[in-house]
Amino acid sequence: MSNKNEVANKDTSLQATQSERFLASVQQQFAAEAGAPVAFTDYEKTLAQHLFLKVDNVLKDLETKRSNDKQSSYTWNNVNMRKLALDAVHRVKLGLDALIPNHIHPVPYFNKREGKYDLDLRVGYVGEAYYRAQVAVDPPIDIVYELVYSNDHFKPIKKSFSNEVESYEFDVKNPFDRGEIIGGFGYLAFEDPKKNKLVIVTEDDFQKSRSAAQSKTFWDGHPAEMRYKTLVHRVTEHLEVDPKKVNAASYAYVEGQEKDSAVMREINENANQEIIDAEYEEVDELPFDKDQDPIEAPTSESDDQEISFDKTGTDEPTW
Amino acid sequence: MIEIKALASGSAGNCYHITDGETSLLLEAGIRYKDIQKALDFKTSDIAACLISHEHKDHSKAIKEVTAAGIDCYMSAGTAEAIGHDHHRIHRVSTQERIKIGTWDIIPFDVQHDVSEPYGFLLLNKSGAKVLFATDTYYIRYRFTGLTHIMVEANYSMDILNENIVSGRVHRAMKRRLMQSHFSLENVKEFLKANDLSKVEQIWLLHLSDTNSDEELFKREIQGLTGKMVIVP
Repeated sequence: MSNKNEVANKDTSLQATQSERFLASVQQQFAAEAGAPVAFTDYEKTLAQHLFLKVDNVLKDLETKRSNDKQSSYTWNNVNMRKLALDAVHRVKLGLDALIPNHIHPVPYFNKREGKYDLDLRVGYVGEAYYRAQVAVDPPIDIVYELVYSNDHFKPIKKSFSNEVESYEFDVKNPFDRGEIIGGFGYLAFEDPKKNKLVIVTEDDFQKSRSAAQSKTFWDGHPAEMRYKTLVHRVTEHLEVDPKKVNAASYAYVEGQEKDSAVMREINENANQEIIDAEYEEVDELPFDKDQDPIEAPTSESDDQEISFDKTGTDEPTW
Repeated sequence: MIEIKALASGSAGNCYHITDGETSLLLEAGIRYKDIQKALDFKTSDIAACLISHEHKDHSKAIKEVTAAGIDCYMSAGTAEAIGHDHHRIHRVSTQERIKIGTWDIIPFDVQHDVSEPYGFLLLNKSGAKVLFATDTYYIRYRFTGLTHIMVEANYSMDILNENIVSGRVHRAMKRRLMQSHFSLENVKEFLKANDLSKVEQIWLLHLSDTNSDEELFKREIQGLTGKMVIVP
């Protein structure tokens, strides 16, 4: 008869096997998709295993919470491995570690076309700051991020003829009553201090990010955290990417894909939903607004007006 | 009997003429008015109205001349504001608000493009024709019943676009702009699959990209999927 320790050991060894299979599957899928095999270092293999553990936990968690029987179960069999393999390779190549908080958030959404769950491996703000620093032309030696409250003292010291190093003054005057958040700043420090850069983010900038967010739940529930994340994004955007770096291709893939995936998700969730079921109506009856008269088209006779050739409309890029 | 004539289709200009034999309409006015006149053998006096989907010049270039010719133009308030041509022939309409123009009932509906307030149009005719016109949209929120004619944008194929990015012909930044403004062949297919096509007589594929499309491929794929007559003007 097995005791608890033996059961735990079996679980661990089973998970280890699954993890190895995941790694093999990722390498195999990537080779098929990208047309070239991928070789992981031992460290990258560890990162891939961490990613497996994270995804496995997320799937199990979602499966426990799944209430709709008609919905596909959250199991590995129902995951689009083709997409996951490509995404996983690029995230591993960037050195992202799924077991570090805010490096990678696996978010599944059902892809009707594939009939499986696409797992978006969204890169968290900590992960983004990490890999951007890795692939930068000039990697920073330190990055400071601070939210500024109304009772704090903050003064930017910009670069000028009399000041070679961009800098700032920042002082929390009353740590127990800092007031409202009024903005934030980031400070990128380099070996050559003349390159140091101060990035200021205003409350208006935060509000723009809030408006762009698909869901306002996080912004309303965690206003300071969401501002901090936005600040990190805005500051690390200033790091120029070196295309010659070995993982720059993965950087480009991940950066592009984060945004492409958001569009694909939007289409997947919103396209071809509501039905417009309308027929020609003989009488002037308004199905949508009964209180308003229908617009009658006037007869098309010439108005005899002077034709002007002023510019109208706006130009669209040629595709 | 519905007759559709494409006067121009693509990023250089868009304009279509549609008639049910009784009432003629222009869909878009994105070319010079004299080219519209020429294409219609100068028979423009019977045009009852012009529907404008959005303010980009390849859809609205001739608006001043069209209104000056006494043709009523229908568009969203956002489009009218963006065009900025104040004229009594400009009519602002709301999404899903029915308009009656001669023998047509027209229902505008919101589409997805990176402009003020873009619309597609559902045209219902008293003899039972149901024409869908939707261009410059990266997806359509709605499904429709009993369509007889579908005029829909098929701007690019994702596969061709990706190949062009790899070869350096198209910059990667263009991809996102395209994905969030124009209909891909792949998404058009999903749209067609989601709709009842049993009464469809013709499918018009509009606004093909010069760089990221392949007319023959698009036609073959949509014909293969639907079994319907496909026209690429």
